[in-house]
Amino acid sequence: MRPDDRRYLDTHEWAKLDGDLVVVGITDFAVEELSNGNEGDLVYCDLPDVGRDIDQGETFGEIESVKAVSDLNAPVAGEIVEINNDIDEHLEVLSEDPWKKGWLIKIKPADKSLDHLMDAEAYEKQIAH
Amino acid sequence: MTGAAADDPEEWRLLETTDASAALAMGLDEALLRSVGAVPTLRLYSWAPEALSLGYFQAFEDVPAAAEHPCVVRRLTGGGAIQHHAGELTFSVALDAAHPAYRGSVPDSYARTHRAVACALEAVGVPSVAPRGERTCASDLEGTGMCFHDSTPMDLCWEMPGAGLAKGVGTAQRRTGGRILHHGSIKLDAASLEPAIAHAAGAGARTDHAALSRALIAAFEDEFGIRLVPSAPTHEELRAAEELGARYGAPGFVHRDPRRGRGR
Repeated sequence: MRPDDRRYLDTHEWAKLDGDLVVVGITDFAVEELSNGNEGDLVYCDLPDVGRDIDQGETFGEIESVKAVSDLNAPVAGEIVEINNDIDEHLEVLSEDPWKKGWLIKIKPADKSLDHLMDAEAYEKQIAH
Repeated sequence: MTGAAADDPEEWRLLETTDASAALAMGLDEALLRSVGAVPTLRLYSWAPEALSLGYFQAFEDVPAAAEHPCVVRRLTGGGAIQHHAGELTFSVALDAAHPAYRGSVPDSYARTHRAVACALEAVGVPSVAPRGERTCASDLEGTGMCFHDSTPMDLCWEMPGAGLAKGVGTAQRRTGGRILHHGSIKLDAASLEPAIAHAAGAGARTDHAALSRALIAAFEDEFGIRLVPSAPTHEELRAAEELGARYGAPGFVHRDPRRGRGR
């Protein structure tokens, strides 16, 4: 079971409320789908500039594995206030710890509600489909 | 009496666009990628004039051949640079990410598509086409930035007489907006900017674009259990391709380098 302290997008990003901010990452399923379990297959993650305003669902970055480039999508609208600068040099953390150390961006949301996103149970059902 | 409709193979669209300009080649693929809900498309195409395409995240400076090439574009798909010359056939598959043909992991969809391409190559006389696996490729060369000089276990390879195992097919995917674009490049003949790679002619196969295209169509139909219906780009697709295609060769896009400073 994936962590139930956060919500999920059908495009495999997670969103977790942390005080006034929403922390965003990608799930272990997304990493596995891109890399087939080989952490060396992830080659690049392009993250946005701090200060950028994004809409819900908007692409905020891209991640490249040896065989695919995929979009990263924003779970909520708001301002990007922090990015994980360690990711660029240490993509392996996405495989090792996608739920904590592998966070990608923090958003100061226009609305803190995550109710429009899937809970862990619904996400599990989706990826099992 | 005919059989039940459920037994009929699913119909995919087949587009064959020979001698496409670099802008049209890339613009039409993006138009197909953006066609949410459209039936899957297999596109087979060649380029004229020849072009060199950079991978989506590649730095122009990391591909020495690009500096001398008169026609450089940047693809939406990642990986290394490719010379699209007269002895090369490009294919693209565009479909919804939820389509059963590509459901599952990226490697799963590669495996199915590569099975079709390998069957097609063997049908035109290239022997023993198979994923590289854990073998070593003689075509892996440092410092060129070329896709065919950097193999992975999934890449299709074959023996080149006297030279050893080499990579002869380069493919890469773009996944965006619930859609997938899978690009592939197949080498029929030697490429001036890609020494040491595998190609059909070097393995003794006497083939050409038309014969390989026919073999690919049959192999995709067999692998995916589909029927490919010949089609042509619609006016709307051509208009979208023209609009979208303009950026692929634009200096700002070709020379962008997200790895050395954010922004695009």
